[in-house]
Amino acid sequence: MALLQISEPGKSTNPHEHRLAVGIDLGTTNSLVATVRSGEVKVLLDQEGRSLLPSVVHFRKDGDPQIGYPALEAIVNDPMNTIASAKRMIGRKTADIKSLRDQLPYNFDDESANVPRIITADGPRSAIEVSAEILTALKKRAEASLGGELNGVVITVPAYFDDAQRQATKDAARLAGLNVMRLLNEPTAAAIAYGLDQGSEGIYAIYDLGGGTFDVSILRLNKGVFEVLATAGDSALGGDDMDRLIAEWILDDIDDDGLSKDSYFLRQTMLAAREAKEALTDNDSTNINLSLPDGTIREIMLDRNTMNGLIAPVIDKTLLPCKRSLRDAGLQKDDIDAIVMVGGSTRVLSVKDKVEEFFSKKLYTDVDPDQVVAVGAAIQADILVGNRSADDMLLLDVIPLSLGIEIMGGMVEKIIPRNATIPVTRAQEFTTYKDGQTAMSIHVVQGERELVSDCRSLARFELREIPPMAAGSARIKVSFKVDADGLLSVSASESTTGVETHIDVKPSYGLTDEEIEQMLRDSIAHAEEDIHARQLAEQQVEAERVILALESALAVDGDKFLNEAEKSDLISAMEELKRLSDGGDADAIKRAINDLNELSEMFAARRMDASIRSVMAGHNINEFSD
Amino acid sequence: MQTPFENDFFDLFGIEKTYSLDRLQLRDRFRALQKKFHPDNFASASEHERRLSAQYAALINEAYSTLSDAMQRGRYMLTLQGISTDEELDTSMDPEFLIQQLELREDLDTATASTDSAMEMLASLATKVNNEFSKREESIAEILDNTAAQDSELEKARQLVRELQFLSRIRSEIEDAEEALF
Repeated sequence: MALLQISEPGKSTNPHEHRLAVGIDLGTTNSLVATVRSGEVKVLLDQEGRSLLPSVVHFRKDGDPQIGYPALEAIVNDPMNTIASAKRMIGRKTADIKSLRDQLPYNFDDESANVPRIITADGPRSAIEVSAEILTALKKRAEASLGGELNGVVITVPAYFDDAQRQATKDAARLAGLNVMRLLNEPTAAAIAYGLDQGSEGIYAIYDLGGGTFDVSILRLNKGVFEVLATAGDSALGGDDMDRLIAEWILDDIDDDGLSKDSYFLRQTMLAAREAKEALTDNDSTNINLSLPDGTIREIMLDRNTMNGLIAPVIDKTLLPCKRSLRDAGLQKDDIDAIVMVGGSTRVLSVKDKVEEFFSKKLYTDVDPDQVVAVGAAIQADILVGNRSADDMLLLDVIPLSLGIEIMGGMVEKIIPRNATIPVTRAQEFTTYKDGQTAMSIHVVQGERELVSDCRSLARFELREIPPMAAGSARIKVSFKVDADGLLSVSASESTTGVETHIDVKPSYGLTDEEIEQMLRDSIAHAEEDIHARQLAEQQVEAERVILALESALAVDGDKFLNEAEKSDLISAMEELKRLSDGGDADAIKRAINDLNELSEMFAARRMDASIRSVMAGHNINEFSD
Repeated sequence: MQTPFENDFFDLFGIEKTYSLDRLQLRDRFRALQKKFHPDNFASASEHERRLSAQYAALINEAYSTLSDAMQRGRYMLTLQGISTDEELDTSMDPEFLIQQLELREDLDTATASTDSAMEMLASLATKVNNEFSKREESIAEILDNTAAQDSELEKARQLVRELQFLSRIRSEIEDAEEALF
């Protein structure tokens, strides 16, 4: 570490140490990483001084993949091995990707796989692995710039991402060796960055149109609490779609069937379309130059009005989610104080015009729409890692899509409605429909439609060993639990006879733990890094986290809730962990962490209990009515 | 919910047990509780504390969404008095109300089928439903906020809460129809 870091007075819960945390905006087109230093947010730059990392990975037969700008150059020269917009594919099934297929030049392997993979010169690669490469590049940038290992990261995802897409993003982070403290919704991150500072109060709409995703969130801001009232969007809609419409217009103009099938030429046309779109923000018209395979140059003029006509369908498609988010928030357009514009695609003038016309409200555009999400994520990361007190700010987010299970007739019974504030736990009872039925198949889905076939299938599992009894008399309780990352876990139990069967499932359209292990081994071999060194470092970071948490809890409440014997047991387990942590045995550290966690459970429970009881007893009630 | 919490939702927020509650006070207490118990406050705490905080935060969210919704709040208060509003066990409804429901549904169909003034018709239908909704809210408050309410009055409140259920369903169908026109 090059320089000693000094945290802002009063901001640190642990003043003797500043912990390294970053916020990452993993975008469709570009990605960024930012951190908080000396109380100020800094977007971290690469060696050439650039903040953006193009979200493009070029896989090569010999040698490491190229990531970012060098890969961007390969898009045109080597399109089949150069993967862009992986975010549009992450967490999606083959069937979902098929509908994107005409837009993607790639070849996929096994059609039936849960996680589709693109065939590249360096072997088959899933969108999760592509994203992991991008995250790894950002991690390296951050560690080089901050001079140490990262303690934790916050990664942003579109608010409208479903469970599978979130899970897949988390898997990518695991592959990249990152400790994800939170998946944060992009519009919420933008709201934090806008400060929508301590002073600002009111209701804001965040309109976030990126390269490949669209979100709109309605937030109420009050005394540092960011309360998301509703969110809506489309996780496959963005600037890419505008580019494609412009590219189609160019291809129509050239009118050559052969060229329309040439993947090299198509990539070139897409890039030219994007450049033209960007040029038309500052100019009324622009010239598109394309070099045809026969060596001739074709020049086509595009003016802003023509482009506005071409891309209007994309912008119009964003207005329905705007309307729906208002409805779900129980608000009218008049209730909104201002609109915050986020995402590179909001630079397009007709986007601003249409949004302003729809809401008839002032637009906030003063923070760089490319950076605002990473900045918000960095602030949240700084709080979660413990550098700044969480009292300053609180985020209350929601789940974007309803969760339910399949019932008779292929219908969906919703268990958690969309826009429920997370974390949320709901349970519902179901029963058997046949006499003597001993097993029940549970199919978990996400979406708003009534038919299972119209919703996203997340997981299937079977509850077995139900005691045989008459139809309708078994009581099977299915519980859904969505955590603060928006990730779901499901459990089911049968309790009529007192025999309890319990099962926990994770949605199935991500990677299995074994697959992640294997990929980790492969990628590490690739990077010639030592797997043991890495596991050891991970366990040491975790041990440090556990020790710090316990030390500060003991300092505050140790004497209040523990007798001498309990206290000395805890302290000696902690000393043991400290001792092992200085050694080189990752497994031993892991065991010691588990032992210490187990031992401190009752301490944690007593503290929580006392905390809620003190609130209930009215001792602290005054502090709530400030 | 596996939290050691045994008191009711009103106690949790430290507010009076009334149907006509102070929405702003409820919101303030909700935020204050989440500031204390939300998992973000425990990101660096032990695993067990993180799990507990998630359970509390989920309970606080559940309590808040129940109490802030007119229909759910009514159901919840009746349940506290041992009165179930479970629709499947009960099919008796005021015939007059049922007729009104049928009319509202016909109006909805007419509005949706209208080619030139669907939006206006839907808007006026929504206003009508909202008025019916508010009327019932007031009547429920009168009964539930009267500590000396008789059993027959509580039965009336139960009917009204069920009617709110029907009205909120048609209200969301009107909104769906508006969305489809957009």
